[in-house]
Amino acid sequence: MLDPDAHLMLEFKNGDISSSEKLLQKYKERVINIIYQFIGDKNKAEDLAIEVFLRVYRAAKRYEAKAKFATWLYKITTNLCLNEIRKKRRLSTISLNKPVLTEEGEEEKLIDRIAGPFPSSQEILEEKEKEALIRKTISSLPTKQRIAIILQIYEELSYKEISKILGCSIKSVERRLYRARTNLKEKLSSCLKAGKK
Amino acid sequence: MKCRKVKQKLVAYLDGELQERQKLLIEEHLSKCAQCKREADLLNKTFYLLKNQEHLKPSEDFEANLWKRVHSAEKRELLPQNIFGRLAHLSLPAAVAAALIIGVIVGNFMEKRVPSQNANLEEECLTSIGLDSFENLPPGSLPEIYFNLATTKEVENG
Repeated sequence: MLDPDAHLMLEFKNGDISSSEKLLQKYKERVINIIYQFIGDKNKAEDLAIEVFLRVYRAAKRYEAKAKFATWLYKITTNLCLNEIRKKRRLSTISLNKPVLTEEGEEEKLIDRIAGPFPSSQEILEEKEKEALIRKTISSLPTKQRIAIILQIYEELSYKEISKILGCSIKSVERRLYRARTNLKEKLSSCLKAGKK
Repeated sequence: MKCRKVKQKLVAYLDGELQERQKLLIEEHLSKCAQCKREADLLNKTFYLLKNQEHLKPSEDFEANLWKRVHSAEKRELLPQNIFGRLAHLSLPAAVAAALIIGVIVGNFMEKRVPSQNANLEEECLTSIGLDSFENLPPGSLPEIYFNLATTKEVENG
């Protein structure tokens, strides 16, 4: 049976603009958040999400409902994220030893902030700081682990769906997620002790 | 099942990705091993810590910005330099095809032209070696002797 979203995409391919509106309403927030979790920049996330939908519209004429629409859409999204990361790497390399300013205006090395030891529980209570820390910890993951965990946690996709999007085996997805979650657990250990489920 | 093996499978277990038999084995181990149980709890907490991260809402002008980009992309695609730009990758095969076509046309033309030239040459040759050409035979040459003999015979017979 044809995926309902793939059906909407086929209708859009045949000129029904309202179908594209439905898809846009359903997926725009998801796409923005996948990109945001991946690159950690709010403004850029929305800009890239627009680029994702622009590519969807341009590819509409060639669209064939071979897989679930979401799989196809997330494939475009992850490819764009990976391109963005490559572009950023080419432009600049951020040194983990580069000093960054804390909330109190003191200098701190980025690597210390990412890898811990974590600040006291009083500071952890600062929600914004905690979120920034989590985001930086996610950003410190190798690209393949990062994209897999973002798709799994935020989109709740199965290993099989992730494997289709990333073009790898289910076993490989399992390994990436195991390493990602273990890495995050170690780097965020103080947050985990302080936080609740 | 050993702790090391269980730990490797914990994430897949928590994500509900294990087959029933493996799931039961892990559950059995977790009920007995406090260390692995603690590891499972921490991994589970990590999931929710990430899951509860700030969620972005699309801006109000998301659609407007998208359509603006769609329209400007369409306009760009219609610009002549972009049409040619898109065809740029075809330049080499097109040049080869054009060269082949020109080659075939010129070849055909030459083929028709060469026989006519040959015909002219043939005519020129025949004209140049016509009987008139033997009017002034080199003195003392074999043709002159033969010609004089023939003429004498004609006169005698005459």
